Amino acid sequence: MVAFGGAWFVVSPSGAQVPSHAAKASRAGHAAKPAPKPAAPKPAPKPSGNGIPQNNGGDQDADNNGGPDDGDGGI
Amino acid sequence: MAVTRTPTTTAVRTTATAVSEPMTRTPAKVSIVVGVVALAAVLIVGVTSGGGHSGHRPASAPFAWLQPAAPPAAWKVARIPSGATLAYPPGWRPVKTDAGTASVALLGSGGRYDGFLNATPKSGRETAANWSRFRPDHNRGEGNRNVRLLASAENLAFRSGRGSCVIDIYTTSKATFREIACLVSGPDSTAVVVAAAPNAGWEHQAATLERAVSSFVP
Repeated sequence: MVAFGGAWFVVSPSGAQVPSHAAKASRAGHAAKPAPKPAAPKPAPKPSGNGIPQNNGGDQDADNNGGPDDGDGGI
Repeated sequence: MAVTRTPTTTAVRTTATAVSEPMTRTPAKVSIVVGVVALAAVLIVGVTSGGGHSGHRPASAPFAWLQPAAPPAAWKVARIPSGATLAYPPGWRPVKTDAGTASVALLGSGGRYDGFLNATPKSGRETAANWSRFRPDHNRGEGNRNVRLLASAENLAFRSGRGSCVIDIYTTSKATFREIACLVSGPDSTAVVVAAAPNAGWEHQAATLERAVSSFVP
């Protein structure tokens, strides 16, 4: 902290500098909490296998409309 | 490399159960019982070990209907660019399909699929060896639910070439279908034939669908 015209530090009995936030936590009587990790990004929606659209999507053939599956092998 | 030309078939196995009764027999009777049980165990092991892809069995019940033959004279034939031909009976009509493929259907009221036939050239990673896994996986990839393999076989004889087939059931957003799907390799090309109908009405369409598959040329 800066006061009285200079920078002041908290030091341990051995003379080493103690970070100011650790000192505050110590004074409060509980350990410092680690910074929360940023939330992991949600994975992209998994495409359905071959990506055959439903609800009359794609080329509107049988398997786009809840009908029977045709014989395409995945393209 | 030697190639086995004998069809192999796998079907859902059945299990047997037995009941027990209190052990009040004499030692002699117990010995007889033990012997009978041991013999039964040997027989059971023999039966079950022969139920899978043994490689030396004729086509069994699930595909016994597959008798390669020309279609009935009254049937029409759809031909796809790769050369495969798909025969279908009167009353069925072409429906919208992917480029390079042929699809015909027997449509009920409201466009309901009462029967469906499709021929498609090989277009993915499907092989004769992986077909029994590939096809159900493909159906799951279509967004279908409750995909269940009922039977599969390899090295089945077709009019031109040999094929791997599955019989499976799956549920779409509108109905539960049963299908016969075969990957057939001929001298010049490999193609898939699919024959499907609502599971609830399978018995009504089975003979037609099986005849169409039996007449398929890849």
